Amino acid sequence: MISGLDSKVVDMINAHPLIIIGSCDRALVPAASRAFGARVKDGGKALEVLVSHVLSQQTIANIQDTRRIAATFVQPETYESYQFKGRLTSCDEPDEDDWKLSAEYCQTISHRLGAIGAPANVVYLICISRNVMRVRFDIEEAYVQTPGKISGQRL
Amino acid sequence: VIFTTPQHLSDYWHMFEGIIPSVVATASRDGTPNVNYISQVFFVDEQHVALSNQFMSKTVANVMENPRVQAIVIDPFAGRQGILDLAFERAETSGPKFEQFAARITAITAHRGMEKVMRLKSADIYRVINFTIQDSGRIDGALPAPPSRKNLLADAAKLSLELARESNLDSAIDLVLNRLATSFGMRHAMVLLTDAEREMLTTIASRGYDQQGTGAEVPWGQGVIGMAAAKACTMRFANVGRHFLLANSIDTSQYLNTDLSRIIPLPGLENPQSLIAAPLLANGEVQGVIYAESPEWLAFTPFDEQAFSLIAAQLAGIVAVAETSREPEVASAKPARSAKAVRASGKEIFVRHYAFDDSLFINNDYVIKGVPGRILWRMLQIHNAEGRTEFTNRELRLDAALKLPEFKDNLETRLLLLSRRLAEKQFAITITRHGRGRVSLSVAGKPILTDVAS
Repeated sequence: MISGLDSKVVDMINAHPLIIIGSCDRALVPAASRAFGARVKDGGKALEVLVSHVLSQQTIANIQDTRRIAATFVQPETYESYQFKGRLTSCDEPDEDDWKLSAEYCQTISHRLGAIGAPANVVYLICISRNVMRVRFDIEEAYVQTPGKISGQRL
Repeated sequence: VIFTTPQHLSDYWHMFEGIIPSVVATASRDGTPNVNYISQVFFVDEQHVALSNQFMSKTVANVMENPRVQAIVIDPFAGRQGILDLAFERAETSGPKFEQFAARITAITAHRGMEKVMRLKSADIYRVINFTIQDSGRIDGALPAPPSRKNLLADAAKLSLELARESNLDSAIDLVLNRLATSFGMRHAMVLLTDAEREMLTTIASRGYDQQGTGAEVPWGQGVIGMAAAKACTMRFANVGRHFLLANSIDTSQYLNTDLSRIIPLPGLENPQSLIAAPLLANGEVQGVIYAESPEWLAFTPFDEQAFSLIAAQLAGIVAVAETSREPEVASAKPARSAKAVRASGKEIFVRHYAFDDSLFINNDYVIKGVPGRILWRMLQIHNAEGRTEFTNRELRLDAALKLPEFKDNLETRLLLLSRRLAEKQFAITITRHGRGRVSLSVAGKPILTDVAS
């Protein structure tokens, strides 16, 4: 467990950056997917990410089975990136707040990607959320992943 | 959501153009996953893709322990996801694929400070185990159609035949630039020729810009154009994006101690998204580069690249022939005074020549530097001394003052560059080439020559 996240990193996550999720099955076959919103929980010791169980069936299955998850957050304008690795604590159906967060996330990230020239229609399709699950995990490892000299350093 | 498993990876070539960054997931031996964005997954063949290893240290470490990788590529037109299950095969640290990747990275990170950060470690080749398309729906009427796989071979063949009939380099360059615009949709393009002595590429002609920029230079090895020449390989970018604009621009730091009045700006779009540059390769040497750009992303497809490379090869042949086939010996080394010869008269034209770089100014306007500047200066000296307006290539070659190399003097292309530059800027002095072998000087006034020694 880490002691908590720096406020700069918390702000970055709350501002709705790009979110990608990594997992693997017991045979070590990895799966990648996108997430559609995130929250910092437990004073920065845990994260909740919204993952589509329609688009990311394998990811959900892997996480529920192995309980291992990686989530990377990327500022699309600057490539500032952080990766968090940890263990699943819960995987639940979404509540009203999750749907609200997911809608807000999709609207914000669409706008952010559109502003840097990504094709708008495609951005919308990438960001549209479908049947999300709320995946919560305790952060065990945190890394800077911004391209450059400090990439891979622990937070 | 519809899942399909296509038979041919190449049918989804537009997912491998890096329009939208790809996602790569790996896992260590102990089952800890890692997930990362990468700029592009490259199509290699129907069974293989490649990833450029620049700064993915954890990804690479995981792959060494566990060769399985999953990557997500995006269809930039329909928003579909392509899910690639991959197995690592090998890391190439030399060879064509590595060179291609390295050249691409160097070309787009030319601005200071980024080269080391973005340095390529290897081109990693992966076998495709499974490829699934995930179609999550569409917005009615909102999506642009993907570019059609137009049969460019017919247009390329037609142009090839036209070029084969063309013996004049001047006309061949114009023909290529015109056809690129009309048949291939490449409306913003230029041809640059190699100046080996100065390690530069010099713009000889362009289309689709406010300024033609004849004489504008790109240092060998710098930017997309310079790298296409230095690596002798075609380079294509489908989505340069605003983040790469600085990187793509020519590093102007070299000009910090240079008199900017001697610089001709390179023509260019303000915000290009797609770029393509092909070397003019003939006789094993890069004779120059042909370059096109577009404000649209994915304006040039892999099929355009093939046609573009074919056209470049043919134009290269014409450049090489122009330089290697000498004019008939009938031309006198010291021709008699031309019937048209006239003593300089009329309005004064002030011409300054700077010996240190052979730069030439006409009425304070910069014309050109290097060998073309030396040639025009010499012609004007002879004109003022003897009243001559007619010259032969042969006498220019034999003129010790011009210091042309005995082998491969590139006189033909230098005269072409000079004539186009003088015409473009509508100077009072012009030259006209008559086939290969004769050059006429036209002076609308009385040249007053000043040689600045240093």
